[in-house]
Amino acid sequence: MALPLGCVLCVLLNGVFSLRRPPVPADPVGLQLEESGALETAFLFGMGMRRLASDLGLIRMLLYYGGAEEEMPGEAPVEPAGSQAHGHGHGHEHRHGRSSHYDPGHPERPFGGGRYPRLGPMAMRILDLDPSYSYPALFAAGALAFNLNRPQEALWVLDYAMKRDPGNLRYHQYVAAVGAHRKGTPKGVIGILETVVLDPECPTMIKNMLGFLYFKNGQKAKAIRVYRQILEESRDPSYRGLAERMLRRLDA
Amino acid sequence: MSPVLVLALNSWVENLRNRFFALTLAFAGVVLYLSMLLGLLACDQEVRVLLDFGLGLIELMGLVGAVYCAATVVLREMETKTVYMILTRPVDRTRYLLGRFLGLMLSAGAAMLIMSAAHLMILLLKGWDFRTVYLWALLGVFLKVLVTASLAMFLALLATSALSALSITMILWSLGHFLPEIRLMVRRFGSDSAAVMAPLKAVSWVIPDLQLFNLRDKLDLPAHLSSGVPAGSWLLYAGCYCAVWLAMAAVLFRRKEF
Repeated sequence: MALPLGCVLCVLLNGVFSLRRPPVPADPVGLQLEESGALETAFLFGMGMRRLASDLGLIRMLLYYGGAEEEMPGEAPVEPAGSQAHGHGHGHEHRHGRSSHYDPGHPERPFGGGRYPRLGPMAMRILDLDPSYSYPALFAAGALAFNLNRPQEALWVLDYAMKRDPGNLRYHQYVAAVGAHRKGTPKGVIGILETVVLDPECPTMIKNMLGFLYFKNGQKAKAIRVYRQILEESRDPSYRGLAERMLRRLDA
Repeated sequence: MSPVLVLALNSWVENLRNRFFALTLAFAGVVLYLSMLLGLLACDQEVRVLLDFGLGLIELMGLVGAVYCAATVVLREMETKTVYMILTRPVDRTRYLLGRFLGLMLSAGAAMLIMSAAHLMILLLKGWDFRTVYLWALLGVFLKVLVTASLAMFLALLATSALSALSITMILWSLGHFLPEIRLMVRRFGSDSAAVMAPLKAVSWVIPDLQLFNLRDKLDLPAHLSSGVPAGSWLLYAGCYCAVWLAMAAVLFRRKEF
């Protein structure tokens, strides 16, 4: 008797409150899971922890991009450097994995080059989990456009992000920066990145890119300012180390 | 003092003395430390990771403690016959149950406050700017735990087995978070396969809508997807839901023969 009565009361209660419930944040039918973290994501979904699932997705993406790259079987070989570069000096790619260590003898070589084919899809999966989380999309778009020299993929990621959060102006700024990069106008890229780095959510990688562009353009004082900012504010030890080395190189 | 309050305070003190409760808090401390390590991996996003892990952890620890107490407290007292000592006094069974539940509320609230104080300290040390939405998210977490605990108390009396009650409660907890998706699924496929969807539809109207309180998961949602904090309707919904299942538990408890 108690169970059916309780159920009936709950039906009434849920009926009244269902009118007040907020909409489903993302289309769950369109949700795609990363193969490696599907079980963990499903568990966290069941616990009502989508944000946590997206955080773990970010950590996984950072570890993927931060680790040495292994060539996947059947993967297309990477085009040699220069075939797609636009003269900024940071479009260099490496056939045999990411140049995760900065080479002071060759500052034109990027910090974080390589192929990393899953970077874009990983960022998109994080957006599926939490459409308001802009950092992974900005990070992946920045890395794809400026470090890995695949601006088209960067634009796909940004387009995917904008569809989920159309009001986020950061994405529009990044699209403009990627566009300027494709046109091969370093001054245009610098102008846009100067606005982008003012955002507290801006990935350190983008700040580093701006510092490098200043350095390449001979704007030493501005480059020093950016590297000092990285040194003071960044929580990423690899970029802090890189900034230290660049500051030494700039005699600052 | 009213017998309900006496029972609630007594329950609270008992829970605080309980080794399980202390272990839960110790475990929370360890996991908070681990979340700090995990935060380091997120580099620029360390604070967000710490915020999300901390709130998630507070919820899980609060849930485990509260549901365990809810599922075992009455059954244990029946088994050890301690319940006789209380029921032989002028305390009716409904008040006894209410007192126990209020005690559980106090215990869960205290544990969550201790954990959130530690969590806030870590966040502030890491340079997080305090936002009031944190407190609202914490309220949502507390209400979710209470709603689930009331269900656990009812199920424990219905099944007369703490293990069954715990298992069913955890399943309902999980389904409660999938409610929007379940309803969407029923809407999409309901017309084609009405017979298959009918049980799911029925369940979706009975289980608690835990996503309603899940502000913890919507801290930065875009403006067009998020709405203001409907604290009033949260409290009303949680209050009514708890009242329904506690009343049903009281019905079962009144019929029990010792």
